[in-house]
Amino acid sequence: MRCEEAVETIRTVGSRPGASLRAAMEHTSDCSDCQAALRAVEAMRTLRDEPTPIFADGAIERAVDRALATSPAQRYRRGFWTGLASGAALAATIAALAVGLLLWDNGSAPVAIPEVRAALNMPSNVTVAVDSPERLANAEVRVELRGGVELDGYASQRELRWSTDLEQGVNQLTLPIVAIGVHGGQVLVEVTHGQKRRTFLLDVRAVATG
Amino acid sequence: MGKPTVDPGGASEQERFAALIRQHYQVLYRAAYRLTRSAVDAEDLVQEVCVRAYPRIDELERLEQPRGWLLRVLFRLFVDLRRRYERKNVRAIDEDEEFVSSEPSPPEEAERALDRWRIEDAWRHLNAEQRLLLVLHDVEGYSLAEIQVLTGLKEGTIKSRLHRARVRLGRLLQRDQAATSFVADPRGS
Repeated sequence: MRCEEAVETIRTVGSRPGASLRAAMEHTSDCSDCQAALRAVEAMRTLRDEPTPIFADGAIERAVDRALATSPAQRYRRGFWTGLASGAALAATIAALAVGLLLWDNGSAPVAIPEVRAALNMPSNVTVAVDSPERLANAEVRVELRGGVELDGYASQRELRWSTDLEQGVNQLTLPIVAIGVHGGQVLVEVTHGQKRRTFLLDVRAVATG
Repeated sequence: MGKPTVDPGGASEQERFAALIRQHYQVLYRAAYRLTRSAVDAEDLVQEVCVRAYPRIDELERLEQPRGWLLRVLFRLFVDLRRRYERKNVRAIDEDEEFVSSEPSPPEEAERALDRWRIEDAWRHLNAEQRLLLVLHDVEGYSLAEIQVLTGLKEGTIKSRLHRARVRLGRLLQRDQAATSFVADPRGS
Protein backbone atom coordinates (compact mmCIF):
# COMPACT_ATOMS: atom_id res chain seq x y z
CA MET A 1 0.00 0.00 0.00
CA ARG A 2 1.29 3.43 -0.92
CA CYS A 3 1.77 6.07 1.76
CA GLU A 4 -0.79 8.47 0.24
CA GLU A 5 -3.41 5.72 0.12
CA ALA A 6 -2.73 4.56 3.67
CA VAL A 7 -3.09 8.06 5.11
CA GLU A 8 -6.21 8.77 3.08
CA THR A 9 -7.78 5.48 4.17
CA ILE A 10 -7.27 6.34 7.83
CA ARG A 11 -8.28 10.00 7.32
CA THR A 12 -11.58 9.04 5.72
CA VAL A 13 -12.22 5.90 7.74
CA GLY A 14 -15.83 4.83 7.40
CA SER A 15 -16.47 6.74 4.21
CA ARG A 16 -14.48 4.62 1.76
CA PRO A 17 -16.16 1.25 1.31
CA GLY A 18 -13.70 -1.49 0.49
CA ALA A 19 -10.67 0.37 1.78
CA SER A 20 -8.53 -1.83 3.97
CA LEU A 21 -8.16 -0.07 7.27
CA ARG A 22 -6.13 -2.96 8.69
CA ALA A 23 -3.61 -2.76 5.84
CA ALA A 24 -3.41 1.00 6.25
CA MET A 25 -2.81 0.71 9.98
CA GLU A 26 -0.10 -1.92 9.47
CA HIS A 27 1.59 0.28 6.89
CA THR A 28 1.54 3.44 9.00
CA SER A 29 2.78 1.64 12.12
CA ASP A 30 6.08 1.05 10.33
CA CYS A 31 6.27 4.27 8.33
CA SER A 32 7.53 7.46 9.96
CA ASP A 33 6.39 9.59 7.00
CA CYS A 34 2.83 8.35 7.39
CA GLN A 35 2.91 8.90 11.14
CA ALA A 36 3.95 12.49 10.52
CA ALA A 37 1.27 12.91 7.85
CA LEU A 38 -1.41 11.64 10.22
CA ARG A 39 -0.23 14.11 12.85
CA ALA A 40 -0.73 16.83 10.25
CA VAL A 41 -4.18 15.51 9.34
CA GLU A 42 -5.20 15.82 12.97
CA ALA A 43 -3.81 19.37 13.11
CA MET A 44 -5.76 20.34 10.01
CA ARG A 45 -8.93 19.07 11.67
CA THR A 46 -8.25 21.54 14.45
CA LEU A 47 -7.95 24.38 11.94
CA ARG A 48 -11.02 23.21 10.04
CA ASP A 49 -13.17 23.20 13.15
CA GLU A 50 -12.16 26.61 14.43
CA PRO A 51 -14.46 29.53 13.58
CA THR A 52 -13.18 32.04 11.05
CA PRO A 53 -12.86 35.51 12.54
CA ILE A 54 -15.45 37.96 11.35
CA PHE A 55 -13.89 40.44 8.97
CA ALA A 56 -13.36 43.98 10.16
CA ASP A 57 -15.95 46.70 9.83
CA GLY A 58 -15.65 48.47 6.50
CA ALA A 59 -13.57 45.69 4.93
CA ILE A 60 -15.88 45.28 1.95
CA GLU A 61 -16.00 49.02 1.33
CA ARG A 62 -12.21 49.24 1.51
CA ALA A 63 -11.83 46.39 -0.97
CA VAL A 64 -14.28 47.93 -3.42
CA ASP A 65 -12.74 51.39 -3.08
CA ARG A 66 -9.26 50.05 -3.72
CA ALA A 67 -10.41 48.12 -6.77
CA LEU A 68 -12.12 51.18 -8.22
CA ALA A 69 -9.11 53.36 -7.53
CA THR A 70 -6.59 50.93 -8.97
CA SER A 71 -8.24 49.26 -11.88
CA PRO A 72 -9.02 51.85 -14.57
CA ALA A 73 -5.39 52.13 -15.57
CA GLN A 74 -5.16 48.38 -15.99
CA ARG A 75 -8.49 48.12 -17.67
CA TYR A 76 -7.48 49.98 -20.77
CA ARG A 77 -4.00 48.60 -21.04
CA ARG A 78 -4.35 47.14 -24.49
CA GLY A 79 -0.97 47.71 -26.06
CA PHE A 80 -0.17 44.06 -26.09
CA TRP A 81 -1.37 42.68 -29.40
CA THR A 82 -3.55 45.38 -30.83
CA GLY A 83 -1.45 45.46 -33.97
CA LEU A 84 -2.70 42.05 -34.91
CA ALA A 85 -6.29 42.94 -34.24
CA SER A 86 -6.29 46.23 -36.13
CA GLY A 87 -6.45 44.50 -39.47
CA ALA A 88 -9.83 43.12 -38.55
CA ALA A 89 -11.63 46.22 -37.45
CA LEU A 90 -14.74 45.17 -39.27
CA ALA A 91 -14.82 41.67 -37.86
CA ALA A 92 -17.83 40.63 -35.86
CA THR A 93 -17.06 40.22 -32.17
CA ILE A 94 -18.07 36.93 -30.67
CA ALA A 95 -18.48 36.48 -26.96
CA ALA A 96 -15.41 34.48 -26.03
CA LEU A 97 -13.05 35.85 -23.46
CA ALA A 98 -10.61 33.80 -21.46
CA VAL A 99 -8.32 35.03 -18.76
CA GLY A 100 -5.22 33.25 -17.56
CA LEU A 101 -2.79 34.21 -14.87
CA LEU A 102 0.81 33.95 -16.00
CA LEU A 103 1.94 32.38 -12.76
CA TRP A 104 2.28 28.70 -13.15
CA ASP A 105 5.04 26.44 -14.27
CA ASN A 106 5.19 24.85 -17.67
CA GLY A 107 3.11 21.88 -16.66
CA SER A 108 -0.10 23.84 -16.19
CA ALA A 109 -3.09 22.74 -18.23
CA PRO A 110 -4.40 24.95 -21.04
CA VAL A 111 -7.16 27.38 -20.24
CA ALA A 112 -10.12 25.82 -22.03
CA ILE A 113 -12.31 28.39 -23.70
CA PRO A 114 -15.93 27.38 -24.32
CA GLU A 115 -16.55 26.50 -27.96
CA VAL A 116 -17.25 29.54 -30.10
CA ARG A 117 -19.35 29.60 -33.24
CA ALA A 118 -17.91 31.58 -36.09
CA ALA A 119 -19.64 32.38 -39.35
CA LEU A 120 -18.13 30.44 -42.22
CA ASN A 121 -15.59 32.50 -44.16
CA MET A 122 -16.30 35.62 -42.12
CA PRO A 123 -13.80 37.12 -39.64
CA SER A 124 -14.84 37.01 -36.00
CA ASN A 125 -12.89 38.50 -33.11
CA VAL A 126 -11.93 36.36 -30.13
CA THR A 127 -10.13 37.86 -27.15
CA VAL A 128 -7.85 36.15 -24.68
CA ALA A 129 -6.17 37.94 -21.81
CA VAL A 130 -3.09 37.25 -19.75
CA ASP A 131 -2.98 38.67 -16.26
CA SER A 132 0.65 39.24 -15.43
CA PRO A 133 1.75 39.92 -11.83
CA GLU A 134 4.59 42.13 -13.05
CA ARG A 135 5.99 43.75 -16.17
CA LEU A 136 7.72 41.13 -18.32
CA ALA A 137 9.96 42.09 -21.22
CA ASN A 138 10.29 39.88 -24.28
CA ALA A 139 7.58 37.38 -23.62
CA GLU A 140 7.19 34.83 -26.41
CA VAL A 141 3.82 34.48 -28.10
CA ARG A 142 2.87 31.54 -30.31
CA VAL A 143 -0.43 31.10 -32.13
CA GLU A 144 -1.07 27.71 -33.73
CA LEU A 145 -4.00 27.10 -36.07
CA ARG A 146 -5.42 23.60 -36.35
CA GLY A 147 -7.98 22.33 -38.86
CA GLY A 148 -10.22 24.67 -40.81
CA VAL A 149 -9.31 27.93 -39.10
CA GLU A 150 -7.26 30.89 -40.32
CA LEU A 151 -6.36 34.31 -39.03
CA ASP A 152 -7.73 37.12 -41.17
CA GLY A 153 -4.84 38.69 -43.04
CA TYR A 154 -2.55 35.72 -42.40
CA ALA A 155 -3.99 33.22 -44.88
CA SER A 156 -2.06 29.96 -45.21
CA GLN A 157 0.06 30.64 -42.10
CA ARG A 158 -0.50 27.82 -39.61
CA GLU A 159 1.74 29.24 -36.91
CA LEU A 160 2.79 32.73 -35.89
CA ARG A 161 5.48 33.58 -33.32
CA TRP A 162 6.63 36.91 -32.01
CA SER A 163 8.05 38.63 -28.94
CA THR A 164 6.34 41.33 -26.98
CA ASP A 165 6.42 43.04 -23.60
CA LEU A 166 3.71 42.23 -21.08
CA GLU A 167 2.57 45.02 -18.83
CA GLN A 168 1.67 44.39 -15.21
CA GLY A 169 -2.01 43.57 -15.11
CA VAL A 170 -4.26 42.57 -17.94
CA ASN A 171 -2.85 42.20 -21.45
CA GLN A 172 -5.33 41.41 -24.17
CA LEU A 173 -4.99 39.71 -27.50
CA THR A 174 -7.81 39.93 -30.02
CA LEU A 175 -7.58 37.38 -32.80
CA PRO A 176 -9.54 37.82 -36.05
CA ILE A 177 -10.34 34.18 -36.70
CA VAL A 178 -11.98 32.85 -39.85
CA ALA A 179 -13.59 29.43 -40.08
CA ILE A 180 -12.71 28.16 -43.53
CA GLY A 181 -14.11 24.65 -43.27
CA VAL A 182 -17.46 23.31 -42.12
CA HIS A 183 -15.80 21.25 -39.40
CA GLY A 184 -14.12 24.27 -37.85
CA GLY A 185 -10.87 23.81 -35.97
CA GLN A 186 -8.82 24.90 -32.99
CA VAL A 187 -6.69 27.88 -32.09
CA LEU A 188 -3.91 27.44 -29.55
CA VAL A 189 -2.35 30.54 -28.00
CA GLU A 190 0.76 30.12 -25.89
CA VAL A 191 2.49 32.88 -23.93
CA THR A 192 5.87 32.06 -22.42
CA HIS A 193 8.27 34.03 -20.28
CA GLY A 194 11.15 32.12 -18.70
CA GLN A 195 9.65 29.24 -16.73
CA LYS A 196 6.18 30.73 -16.82
CA ARG A 197 3.71 29.71 -19.45
CA ARG A 198 0.02 30.07 -20.10
CA THR A 199 -1.78 28.24 -22.88
CA PHE A 200 -5.27 28.87 -24.22
CA LEU A 201 -7.11 26.34 -26.38
CA LEU A 202 -10.10 27.52 -28.35
CA ASP A 203 -12.49 25.24 -30.23
CA VAL A 204 -14.03 27.00 -33.23
CA ARG A 205 -17.21 25.67 -34.78
CA ALA A 206 -18.26 26.94 -38.18
CA VAL A 207 -21.84 27.98 -38.76
CA ALA A 208 -23.38 28.84 -42.11
CA THR A 209 -24.90 32.30 -42.48
CA GLY A 210 -27.77 33.63 -44.57
CA MET B 1 -48.71 36.78 -11.26
CA GLY B 2 -45.03 36.19 -10.79
CA LYS B 3 -42.78 37.75 -8.24
CA PRO B 4 -41.84 41.36 -8.93
CA THR B 5 -38.36 41.73 -10.33
CA VAL B 6 -35.81 44.46 -9.99
CA ASP B 7 -34.57 45.98 -13.18
CA PRO B 8 -30.76 46.05 -12.90
CA GLY B 9 -30.49 48.36 -15.87
CA GLY B 10 -30.07 51.45 -13.72
CA ALA B 11 -27.19 50.14 -11.61
CA SER B 12 -23.80 51.62 -12.37
CA GLU B 13 -20.77 49.44 -13.01
CA GLN B 14 -19.39 50.38 -9.58
CA GLU B 15 -22.65 49.45 -7.87
CA ARG B 16 -22.79 46.12 -9.68
CA PHE B 17 -19.20 45.41 -8.70
CA ALA B 18 -19.87 46.28 -5.06
CA ALA B 19 -22.89 43.98 -5.06
CA LEU B 20 -20.82 41.14 -6.48
CA ILE B 21 -18.08 41.58 -3.88
CA ARG B 22 -20.59 41.81 -1.03
CA GLN B 23 -22.04 38.50 -2.20
CA HIS B 24 -18.72 36.65 -2.17
CA TYR B 25 -16.61 38.53 0.38
CA GLN B 26 -17.19 36.16 3.30
CA VAL B 27 -16.10 33.09 1.31
CA LEU B 28 -13.03 34.89 -0.04
CA TYR B 29 -12.09 36.19 3.39
CA ARG B 30 -12.45 32.77 5.00
CA ALA B 31 -10.18 31.18 2.39
CA ALA B 32 -7.68 34.02 2.69
CA TYR B 33 -7.62 33.81 6.47
CA ARG B 34 -7.10 30.07 6.45
CA LEU B 35 -4.15 30.50 4.13
CA THR B 36 -2.51 33.47 5.80
CA ARG B 37 -3.58 32.90 9.43
CA SER B 38 -3.76 36.68 9.76
CA ALA B 39 -6.79 38.97 9.64
CA VAL B 40 -4.76 41.84 8.21
CA ASP B 41 -3.10 39.73 5.53
CA ALA B 42 -6.41 38.11 4.65
CA GLU B 43 -8.03 41.50 4.09
CA ASP B 44 -5.09 42.59 1.93
CA LEU B 45 -5.28 39.42 -0.14
CA VAL B 46 -8.99 39.83 -0.80
CA GLN B 47 -8.36 43.43 -1.83
CA GLU B 48 -5.85 42.21 -4.41
CA VAL B 49 -8.48 39.86 -5.77
CA CYS B 50 -10.94 42.73 -6.04
CA VAL B 51 -8.41 44.85 -7.93
CA ARG B 52 -8.16 42.09 -10.52
CA ALA B 53 -11.86 41.37 -10.57
CA TYR B 54 -13.12 44.87 -11.27
CA PRO B 55 -11.89 45.04 -14.88
CA ARG B 56 -13.65 41.69 -15.41
CA ILE B 57 -17.02 42.73 -14.01
CA ASP B 58 -18.86 42.23 -17.28
CA GLU B 59 -17.51 38.71 -17.77
CA LEU B 60 -17.93 37.81 -14.10
CA GLU B 61 -21.61 38.70 -14.24
CA ARG B 62 -22.04 36.31 -17.11
CA LEU B 63 -20.43 33.41 -15.28
CA GLU B 64 -22.67 30.89 -13.57
CA GLN B 65 -20.20 30.61 -10.69
CA PRO B 66 -18.07 33.75 -10.36
CA ARG B 67 -17.01 32.45 -6.95
CA GLY B 68 -14.85 29.82 -8.64
CA TRP B 69 -13.05 32.44 -10.69
CA LEU B 70 -12.55 34.68 -7.67
CA LEU B 71 -11.19 31.81 -5.58
CA ARG B 72 -8.81 30.73 -8.33
CA VAL B 73 -7.42 34.25 -8.51
CA LEU B 74 -7.10 34.35 -4.72
CA PHE B 75 -5.22 31.05 -4.52
CA ARG B 76 -2.82 31.97 -7.30
CA LEU B 77 -2.21 35.41 -5.87
CA PHE B 78 -1.49 33.89 -2.49
CA VAL B 79 1.07 31.49 -3.94
CA ASP B 80 2.70 34.20 -6.01
CA LEU B 81 2.82 36.84 -3.30
CA ARG B 82 4.03 34.34 -0.73
CA ARG B 83 6.80 33.10 -3.00
CA ARG B 84 7.99 36.64 -3.58
CA TYR B 85 7.96 37.28 0.16
CA GLU B 86 9.83 34.07 0.89
CA ARG B 87 12.48 34.86 -1.69
CA LYS B 88 13.08 38.24 -0.08
CA ASN B 89 12.66 37.58 3.60
CA VAL B 90 12.56 34.00 4.69
CA ARG B 91 15.01 31.16 4.64
CA ALA B 92 13.03 27.95 4.67
CA ILE B 93 14.30 25.66 7.37
CA ASP B 94 15.76 22.38 6.32
CA GLU B 95 14.01 19.09 6.96
CA ASP B 96 16.90 17.89 9.11
CA GLU B 97 17.69 21.22 10.69
CA GLU B 98 17.22 21.52 14.39
CA PHE B 99 13.94 23.28 14.96
CA VAL B 100 14.06 25.87 17.67
CA SER B 101 11.02 28.04 18.15
CA SER B 102 11.62 31.79 18.09
CA GLU B 103 8.38 32.42 19.90
CA PRO B 104 8.28 33.20 23.61
CA SER B 105 7.45 30.38 25.95
CA PRO B 106 3.75 29.70 25.94
CA PRO B 107 2.10 30.32 29.23
CA GLU B 108 0.58 27.54 31.28
CA GLU B 109 -2.69 27.18 29.51
CA ALA B 110 -5.11 24.57 28.36
CA GLU B 111 -3.72 21.79 26.22
CA ARG B 112 -6.01 22.75 23.38
CA ALA B 113 -4.69 26.29 23.24
CA LEU B 114 -1.15 24.95 23.28
CA ASP B 115 -1.97 22.62 20.39
CA ARG B 116 -3.25 25.55 18.39
CA TRP B 117 -0.14 27.55 19.17
CA ARG B 118 2.01 24.68 17.95
CA ILE B 119 0.03 24.41 14.75
CA GLU B 120 0.26 28.15 14.09
CA ASP B 121 4.00 28.04 14.70
CA ALA B 122 4.57 25.08 12.40
CA TRP B 123 2.25 26.57 9.77
CA ARG B 124 4.54 29.55 9.32
CA HIS B 125 7.32 27.24 8.14
CA LEU B 126 5.32 25.74 5.28
CA ASN B 127 5.72 27.21 1.84
CA ALA B 128 2.81 28.74 -0.09
CA GLU B 129 1.96 25.69 -2.14
CA GLN B 130 2.02 23.40 0.88
CA ARG B 131 -0.38 25.70 2.72
CA LEU B 132 -2.62 25.96 -0.30
CA LEU B 133 -2.95 22.21 -0.81
CA LEU B 134 -3.53 21.53 2.88
CA VAL B 135 -6.20 24.22 3.14
CA LEU B 136 -7.96 23.22 -0.07
CA HIS B 137 -8.02 19.49 0.66
CA ASP B 138 -7.97 19.04 4.41
CA VAL B 139 -9.73 22.20 5.59
CA GLU B 140 -12.02 23.36 2.79
CA GLY B 141 -12.72 19.78 1.71
CA TYR B 142 -12.17 20.17 -2.03
CA SER B 143 -11.74 16.93 -3.99
CA LEU B 144 -8.58 16.23 -5.95
CA ALA B 145 -10.48 16.88 -9.18
CA GLU B 146 -11.65 20.26 -7.91
CA ILE B 147 -8.15 21.17 -6.79
CA GLN B 148 -6.91 20.22 -10.24
CA VAL B 149 -9.28 22.80 -11.73
CA LEU B 150 -8.36 25.43 -9.15
CA THR B 151 -4.60 25.05 -9.40
CA GLY B 152 -3.90 23.63 -12.83
CA LEU B 153 -1.78 20.88 -11.26
CA LYS B 154 -2.18 17.26 -12.33
CA GLU B 155 -3.98 14.92 -9.94
CA GLY B 156 -0.93 12.75 -9.34
CA THR B 157 1.14 15.83 -8.61
CA ILE B 158 -1.46 17.07 -6.16
CA LYS B 159 -1.50 13.72 -4.34
CA SER B 160 2.25 13.51 -3.94
CA ARG B 161 2.69 17.18 -2.99
CA LEU B 162 -0.17 17.00 -0.52
CA HIS B 163 1.45 14.01 1.13
CA ARG B 164 4.79 15.78 1.31
CA ALA B 165 3.07 18.83 2.81
CA ARG B 166 1.45 16.64 5.48
CA VAL B 167 4.73 14.93 6.29
CA ARG B 168 6.46 18.30 6.56
CA LEU B 169 3.79 19.74 8.84
CA GLY B 170 3.72 16.58 10.95
CA ARG B 171 7.47 16.68 11.49
CA LEU B 172 7.41 20.37 12.34
CA LEU B 173 4.68 19.69 14.88
CA GLN B 174 6.65 16.86 16.42
CA ARG B 175 9.75 19.01 16.81
CA ASP B 176 7.70 21.89 18.11
CA GLN B 177 6.07 19.60 20.64
CA ALA B 178 9.47 18.40 21.80
CA ALA B 179 10.71 21.99 22.06
CA THR B 180 7.72 23.20 24.09
CA SER B 181 7.86 20.13 26.33
CA PHE B 182 11.47 20.97 27.06
CA VAL B 183 10.54 24.56 27.84
CA ALA B 184 7.77 23.40 30.14
CA ASP B 185 10.04 20.99 31.96
CA PRO B 186 13.77 21.59 31.38
CA ARG B 187 14.61 18.32 33.09
CA GLY B 188 12.68 16.48 30.38
CA SER B 189 10.87 14.37 32.91
